[in-house]
Parts: sequence; structure tokens; C-alpha cells
Amino acid sequence: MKLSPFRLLIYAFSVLCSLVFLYPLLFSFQNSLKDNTEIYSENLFALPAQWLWSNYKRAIVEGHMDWAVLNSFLYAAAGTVLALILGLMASFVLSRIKFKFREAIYLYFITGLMIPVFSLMIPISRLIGTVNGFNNYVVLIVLYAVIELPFTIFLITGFMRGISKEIDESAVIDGCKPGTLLFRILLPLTMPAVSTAGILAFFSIYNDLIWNVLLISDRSLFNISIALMSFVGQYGSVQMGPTFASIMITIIPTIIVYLLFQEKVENGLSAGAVKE
Amino acid sequence: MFGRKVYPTVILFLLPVFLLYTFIFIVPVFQTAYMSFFSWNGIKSVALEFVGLSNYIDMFKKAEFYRSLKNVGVFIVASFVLILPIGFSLALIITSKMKGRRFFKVAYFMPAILPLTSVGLMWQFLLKGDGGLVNKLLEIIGLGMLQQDWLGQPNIAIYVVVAVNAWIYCGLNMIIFASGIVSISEEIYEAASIDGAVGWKNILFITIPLMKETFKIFAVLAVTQSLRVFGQIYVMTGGGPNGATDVPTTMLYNESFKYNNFGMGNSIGTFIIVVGFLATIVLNKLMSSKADH
Repeated sequence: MKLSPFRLLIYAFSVLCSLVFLYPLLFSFQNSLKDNTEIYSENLFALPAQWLWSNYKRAIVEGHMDWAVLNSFLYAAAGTVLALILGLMASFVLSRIKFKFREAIYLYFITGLMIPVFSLMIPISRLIGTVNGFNNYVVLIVLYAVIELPFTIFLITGFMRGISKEIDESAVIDGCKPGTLLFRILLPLTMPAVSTAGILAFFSIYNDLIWNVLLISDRSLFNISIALMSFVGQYGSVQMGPTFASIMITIIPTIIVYLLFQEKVENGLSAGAVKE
Repeated sequence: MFGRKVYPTVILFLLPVFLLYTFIFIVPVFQTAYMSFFSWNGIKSVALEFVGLSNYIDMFKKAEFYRSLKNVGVFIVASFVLILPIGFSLALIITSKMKGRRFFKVAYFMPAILPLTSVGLMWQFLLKGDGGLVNKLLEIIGLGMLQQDWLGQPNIAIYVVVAVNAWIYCGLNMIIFASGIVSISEEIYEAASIDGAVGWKNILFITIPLMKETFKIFAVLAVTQSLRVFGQIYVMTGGGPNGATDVPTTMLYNESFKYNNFGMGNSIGTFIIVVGFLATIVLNKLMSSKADH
């Protein structure tokens, strides 16, 4: 194919767009290694005169950003696993067993997709207050899992309904218990839906902001969002280097996860967006 | 299946999920509605005081409330004038046979996966009045007179936030559009090329009409997701300067957790739930009935 001017124009546009999306990130990385004088200097594109890795050290030692990343991973991993287990159990019943009110109960769960959770911040924080659940890993993880339930159930039930029922029948004839049937036989067949739901849940819990703000005040339980906000609140523009470093610390793990599971992440997040 | 043992299985598998979901997700919906008729300052030991409709009356009297609705409107409009055309163009790029399309895909999608808080804070610094990236770039390209504190000007702050929001979510919508583009069969394009259709004509007369369903989904999302915007605003401006960038969700947060006016917070919450519900149902009806004709 030869390069017509038209093609060249499209190519230039594509490259320009990637600059628009990536350059702010590169710029932040570059600044995370500079001191204030250099950040404020006229020379925008200059590499750091001295690579100040100490900015990262300060973000970790003073801002505890390493803990925050760890906490976020913990919340995300545990919350996702719990959401998937609960979601699989419900979906199994809702897709494989016939009983009265089945469709009504399914709709009841799906209704959750239409409710913006932000509108529930008052009653939920009140509820957690009444059980003395502030600053508690387990409470937060259960809350995260339940918030992800409607979508998890929607996705997994939809997928399970497409799996042949004959599998269940032969499994039951072989004396298979429902639990074994679900987790040993059906789960492997449902993996595409499970991984999509799992990725979506993982990302949304990892990135959570509001629930951590409302329910956590103990530093050792901070997730990335609130650790970042409090660290940046302290340093702000007085010390921009450490600020950018702390932002990079929260961004880099997500980039790594994305690059490792590229296709899955793309499909998972876009499936999540079109859930309604 | 499972013969007479159906109900024990149903109860064992469904009941825990059902109870958790009901108590943590559904009961709060009704509590929001119920508590919107009471005044409460957020302190556990202080009793709720029944005030009838006065929270709603106060809410509908507040100029800030209408501004927050207008701001949601700005988000919705921006979805159609910014995210739709850009996202669709990007989708065309990554589904073409162009060299480097895999790199482009990753580059465009990157902002969508990053933590909202990190990205919001990053932009807060890039948009700063003194020494921010945006101002410096303007200086370099000779538009120095446009320099300003982008998030600090009440009359433009919301548009700046909306632009950052587009920067974040174009990539996500690109993937949605791309899956619509990919689902169109190659044969249709081949048939068209026999008839002499090329380039722009293909896009205009084949791709876009055949992607009607995808665009419909996008339209529903543009409205429902705009009602849910929270993190972007909370992180970048907190609703300021002077409430200029408030949306209903941040207003709910500020009224309740900043000013301890939980009654008003709950009436805003109820409003969001009802409008969100209606919007989803009405839009879906509208879209599907059009498909029948």
C-alpha cells in the first residue's frame, strides 16, 4: 500500500491522539523525578538534572503509599473473590433451577444496576455506624462485594443460561451434590463471564474513593485514593516532586495489570460500561 | 432438577446473597426516601425530626441545585459533542489495518483504566495557574494570553472538568464502538467495494447505519452515567469554586458530610434515584420502540 496524503493525514491524527492521551502521564513521570525549581522552570521538556528517586522514597515513607497500594490490592482481591462466590451461588440457582418467583428474584437483583450507589452514601454509612463497622477490613470488603453483586449476577446468570442443562442432569444421576456441580463442573464452563465480572469488580474496588473516604479514618487502612488525597493535601504545590511521585505509585500497578491482561481488561471494562 | 430437594438448595444458595443485597443495597434506597422527610445533623444519639416536605422545598428553592442539574446537562452534551465523535474516530483507527494500531489502542485506552483519584489529582496540577503543563504549552505555541487558573474560574471550571472527563473516557467508549464496528461482516464492505464505494463512503453509508444499536446504547449511557458523576468532581474541584462545578452527587456529599444537613442530602439522594430510574426506563423504552419501526 502506498502512502497517499490522505493516509498520512490519518496517521498524523492517530499519533497526535496518542500524544494527547499519553503525554500527560509521561510528563507526570518526568516531574516525579524533579525538584520544585526544575518543575517551575521554563524548560518544559528537559530531563531531570538529577533523577530524584528520593521523591518516591518520601511518598512511601511519609505518605505510606506502599501500604495504600497493598491495601487497595487486598480490598480488590478479597472483594472480587467474595462477589464472585456470592454471584456464582445466586446465578446457579437463578439459571439452573426452576422454582416459583425465580424471574422476580432475578429482576430484584438486576434492579441494583439502575441505582446509583452514590445516592446511598448516607444510609450506608449510618448502617455501618450502627454495627460499629468503621475502620474494619471485613466490613469494607463485604460492602464492596455487595455493591458489585448486581452486575456479577447479571453477567454470570446470562452466561449460565446458555450452558446446556443436560450437564446438570447427568451430574445429578452420577450423585453430584449442587455445590460440586457448581464449583467443579459449571464454574470452568462459566469462566469467560466470571473473568469479565471479576476484572470489572477488581478495577472498581481498587479505584474506590467514596467508601474509603466515608468509612475509614485509620491511616493503616487507607486505600490509594484517600492516601493520595491526604498526602497531596499536605504537600500540594509546595513540594510537587513527591506529589507527582505519589500519583505515579498509584498509577503504575494498574498499568502493569492492564499490559499483562490487555484484551481481558478491555473487554471487561467495556462490558461493565454497557451493563444497563 | 434435584427433585424434591429444590427448595433446600435454593435457600442454601440464594438466601445469604439475598439478605446481604437486601440489607446493604435495597433497604438503604428506602431509607434514603424515608429519611428525606426528616431533619438530622448526623449525630447518632440525636433523634430524627419529622419535617414533612421541607427538605424538598428547600432543595427546589436552592439556586445551587439547578446549577448542579445544569452541570449534569453539560456532561450529557459533552458526551455527544466530544466523546462520541472522538471515541468513534479512535475506534475506526484501531479497527483499521493501519500499522501500529495495537499501540494506538493501548495508548487511547490507558486513561480509562487508571484510578480516577490519581488522574484527577494529576490534572489538577497540570491545569494549575502557575507552572501547570497546559499553561506552559500555551506559552510555547504562542497562545500565552489564554493562560489562566483553569479550575479556579467559576465560569469555565465545569467545561474544564468535562474535558478532563472526556480525556478519561474516550478510550472506554472507543472499545464499545470498536466492538460494534467489528461485528459488521466483511462481506458487506466487499459487496460495496464492487459497487465502487471507498473510504469515507463506506463509513458514512455502511458503518454508521449498521451501528445504530451501538449508538443507542451509547445514548442511554451518556445520560445515565452523567447522573452518576462524582469522583472526577470530588477530586478535582470538590464542587468549587463556589459551587460552580457541583453535580447532584457532590452536592449530596457536601450538604451531608460537610454541612451536616443530612435531610437535604437525602432529598437530593431520592431525587437522583428517581430520576436515574426514570431516565433508564424511559430511554430504554424509547430506543427499543424506535427499533421496531
